[in-house]
Amino acid sequence: MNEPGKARSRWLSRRAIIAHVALVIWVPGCAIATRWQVGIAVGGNSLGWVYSVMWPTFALFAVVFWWYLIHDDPDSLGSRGLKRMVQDGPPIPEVDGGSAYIAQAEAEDPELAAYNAYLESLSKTAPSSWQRR
Amino acid sequence: MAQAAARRALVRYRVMAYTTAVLLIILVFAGIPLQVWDHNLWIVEVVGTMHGYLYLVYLLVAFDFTRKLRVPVARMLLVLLAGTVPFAAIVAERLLTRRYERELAEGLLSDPADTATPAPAAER
Repeated sequence: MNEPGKARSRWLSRRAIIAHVALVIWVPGCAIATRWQVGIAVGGNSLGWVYSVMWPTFALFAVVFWWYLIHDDPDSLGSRGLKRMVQDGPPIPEVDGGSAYIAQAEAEDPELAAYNAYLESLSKTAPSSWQRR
Repeated sequence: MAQAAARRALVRYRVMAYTTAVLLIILVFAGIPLQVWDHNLWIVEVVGTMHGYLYLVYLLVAFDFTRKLRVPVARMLLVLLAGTVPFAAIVAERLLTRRYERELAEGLLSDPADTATPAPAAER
């Protein structure tokens, strides 16, 4: 996220620019509409109070939605992006189960090695329903 | 994203789309004529208030659903605005439900972690 190229694609992609423009038009529009509705409410139309609350909420939603849109993964957008995401799948982390460490510990401690061998023999005789998957 | 989560988002979205659409049709085709010709305000006040608050819920639910379907942003904005145009929310609901079914049939909504990840390798 700190790479400059990535930040640029996040903030200046076509999608991001549509989101910026929509926000820049929408939020001042909400401010104007709020003023207008407060005027109506003060003028005696009680329905104006409902919309006086509504318009600032619309502006707030716009900011929240904009923030989500900017932070969506740009590679997974649209049907094509979704397809790509599913085909590639998540990266499978390479996990070393600590086998080198275990081997070293077993070499140093014969009692541990014997106990591990005992556990392994138990797991081989266990009913298959006990094993994961 | 799990398939079940997408399904729940679809149901939430469809409920809110129809609710706001029906209220808006009542408001525009019954409330406003009554206000203009009969100076009868009650439908506009009651239904207008209900539509106003439920539209906020519609916005949240529609945004969540279109994001899960990975709808492009311009079309997403149209879906959000559809809640304020009579009948538009119903059209949007049909199109989005079809998109959901297409993406579901292509297996795009199942969680890649559920299908693509092999079972953890057994310890020797």
